[in-house]
Amino acid sequence: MTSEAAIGIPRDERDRIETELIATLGRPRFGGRLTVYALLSVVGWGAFAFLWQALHGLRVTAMTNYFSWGVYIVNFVFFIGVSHAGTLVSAILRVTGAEWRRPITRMAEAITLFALLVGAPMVIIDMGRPDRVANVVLHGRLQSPIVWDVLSICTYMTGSLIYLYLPLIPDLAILRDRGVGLPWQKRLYRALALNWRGTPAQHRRLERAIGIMAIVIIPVAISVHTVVSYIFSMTLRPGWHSTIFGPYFVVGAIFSGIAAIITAMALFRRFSHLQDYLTESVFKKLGALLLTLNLVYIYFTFSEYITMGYTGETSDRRLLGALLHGVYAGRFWTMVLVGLIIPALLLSLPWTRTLRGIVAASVLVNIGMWMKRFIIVVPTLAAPFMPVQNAGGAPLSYAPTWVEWSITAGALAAFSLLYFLFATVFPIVSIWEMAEAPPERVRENGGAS
Amino acid sequence: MNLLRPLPLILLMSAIGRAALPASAPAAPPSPAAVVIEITRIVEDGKPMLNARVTVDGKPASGVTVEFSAPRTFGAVALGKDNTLDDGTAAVVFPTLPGAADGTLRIEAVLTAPDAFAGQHAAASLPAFAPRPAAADRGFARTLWSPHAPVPLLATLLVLLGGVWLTYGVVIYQIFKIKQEASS
Repeated sequence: MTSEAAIGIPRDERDRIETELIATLGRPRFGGRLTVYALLSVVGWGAFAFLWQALHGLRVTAMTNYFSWGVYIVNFVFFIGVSHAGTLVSAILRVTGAEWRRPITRMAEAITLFALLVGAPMVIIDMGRPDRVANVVLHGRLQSPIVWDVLSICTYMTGSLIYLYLPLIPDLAILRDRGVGLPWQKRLYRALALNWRGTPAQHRRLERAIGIMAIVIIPVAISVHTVVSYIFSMTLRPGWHSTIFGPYFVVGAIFSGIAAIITAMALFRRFSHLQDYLTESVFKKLGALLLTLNLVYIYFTFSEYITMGYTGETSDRRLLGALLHGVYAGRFWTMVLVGLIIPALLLSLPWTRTLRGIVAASVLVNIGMWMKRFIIVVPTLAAPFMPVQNAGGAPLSYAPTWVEWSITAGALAAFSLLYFLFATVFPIVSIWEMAEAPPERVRENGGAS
Repeated sequence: MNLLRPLPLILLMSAIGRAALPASAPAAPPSPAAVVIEITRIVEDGKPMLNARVTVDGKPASGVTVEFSAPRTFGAVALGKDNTLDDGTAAVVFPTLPGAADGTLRIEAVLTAPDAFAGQHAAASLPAFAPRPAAADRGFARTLWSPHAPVPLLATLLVLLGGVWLTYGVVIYQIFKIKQEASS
């Protein structure tokens, strides 16, 4: 039985949208399969490195007494930041009634879930004793920001899963009614579609549930990255103990999240042939959002370092020296250039504010924001308040080992693989939301020829 | 007066270096002397002092150099040294270092001279000069070693998380109703 949901556009138009978007599902073609194998290999290598670390302990990493956090925590903050793509961006656009959100909400919401699934375990990998993870729950102290982090991430992950699932229900009913997929897929669609018939009563309930989740998920998402920032800012270390870290982290998360959505959109537009849905207009609107966040992030960065430099406390001055013209200067200025300045130029100049320019800026932002998290975590650990002991007079340094790089690569590949596989089983563009869009929006954002 | 009550940690050490003769030595080794170092906190002329009394075989040992220190997280803080008087006591000014959460300060005393006694040491936990109030007694005891989280913190977490999870519950109820309405 076909759903009765689509009301915005003529029936034949709706059927065409359904057919086009369902065509993106199914077994990947040769190139897609090659991608899956390549990603699986990297994930396997990462899993081997993790096993190696589990067998030999954290001594196979570059972490020491001084560098108790390394790239694992950098990855954790990065992925939690990327996770803000979906839920927050999608929820804000939904709440504000931005019609152009329709083709991008699903891919944004999926980014959130998979980024959390890959990012959250980074803390467990960093701890070095994954067998003791239950102690966090059994013996955790509610006074500790780390326990707040565990609670808020679990809450966020649950909320993101619900928020991803709710708008999927009508699409699952369409897939069920059209008999799409292999037998196991048919069973999956039937089970998850919850007997959806698209009746007005069901629609009212669904809209109400999505509306509630769209509102509640915004403070939850903000709280998650605020709490992540608390892990740093509630520690008395130079560069971390800052009152602006909460909003600084939240802005950084939305910034890198939007960049992640644009990158994903570009890949789906190119390889899933979704040019009619992911139009240049949508890219430009997200590009404008990205530029806004870019400028706000530059402002926060400037404000953070100028305050630290002006007061000139010994430990702050030492850290700032290492960043601006010392050991970490290369990485710091590369981050500023690659992650902040070049993207801002690409997004603001009329002749580079094209689809290619926006995508290039997004990729650079992703790279730059990973480096920024490295700049936050590592240089501070290299500048302790107490005199360095047992280092033989050499300055503290941290260079990740092959184990850490392999696990990092494995995490990135796992995220890409999960996302890719999701898009082969579930429509990456919301079918019913496209079909319900006002006709003029459909013509502008996709669907009409 | 409770602060003035000595809290001695008596360390009985069985031997001194000179007594440890090789087993093949023709002469019988002298019986090992028992060195006892008793660390206390006293008040002298109204000033709190850190006192160590050294006895050898129960008799006060004079002219022994005692070095005092307070072990901290990263190494020990030297508190000074003094030679024992005829009554076997050596004293330095009691340090103003903050104590541990229970209000006590760990003190170590090491004998450095003469060679016969060098290396003998003892430790004691004494009431700190300015005892730190126990974490639980403070207004907002958020320290990880306090017995439980502060009530305002617990209430905040409970309200925020409870509110969110309650909302999730309402949404999940809507999901069940969606399924039910199709059947009805």
